[in-house]
Amino acid sequence: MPGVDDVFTALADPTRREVLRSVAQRPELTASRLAGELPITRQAVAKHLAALQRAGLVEPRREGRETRYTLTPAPLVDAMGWMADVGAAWDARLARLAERARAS
Amino acid sequence: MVASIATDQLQERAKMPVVNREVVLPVTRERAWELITEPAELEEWLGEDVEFDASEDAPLRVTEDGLTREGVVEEVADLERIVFRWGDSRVEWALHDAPGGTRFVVTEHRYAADTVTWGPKLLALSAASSLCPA
Repeated sequence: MPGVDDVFTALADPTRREVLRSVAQRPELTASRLAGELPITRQAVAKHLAALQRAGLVEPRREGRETRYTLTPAPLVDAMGWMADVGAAWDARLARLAERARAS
Repeated sequence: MVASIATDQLQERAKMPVVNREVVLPVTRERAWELITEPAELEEWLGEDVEFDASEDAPLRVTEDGLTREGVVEEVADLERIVFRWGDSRVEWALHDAPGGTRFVVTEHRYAADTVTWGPKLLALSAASSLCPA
């Protein structure tokens, strides 16, 4: 089961985010269509899709000779949930700190 | 529908892959450093029970709302910057001069085995959101 770390690691690469954005915008995209649209080789596209698949962010579906990829947003939602929780905790801490600084 | 929601989330993610917060404290740099390094001060805002020593490799322990996190201080630059690990995350605290006081910038991201290589890239991408004291 991929975790938040896998999602962050997968999304750390800007080209990979570009690949994921394309898949998100057009479900059922094939690797060859992607390679035609992005300025990267078919092999590079395959590598990025494999990394995204390991992070649970895309799901492949074989159709004849082609594999079609669709976004699976659940891990993204988990990662965003982590960010929302951690952000809310810092908001509360910094509000207390600012109060302490004003009092001192 | 799912695809369009997910695209929005993705765009949001690309802007903010880590948590980044900042606040301007109406105090001098020296006072701000005390507020973020002295356990008695940290117990006023970080957690109710804080063991913290601003020196490299020092272990730290913070209990906040009954939850205890343990970690270690990784980097210290006096009056400027502290980096520490706690739980599954790495946190960076930095102080900068600002009009009216000292800006305190917090960055937290998940710790992973390859943090050393991808950490700085995520930091470069992250957008700051401000929390301005009234």
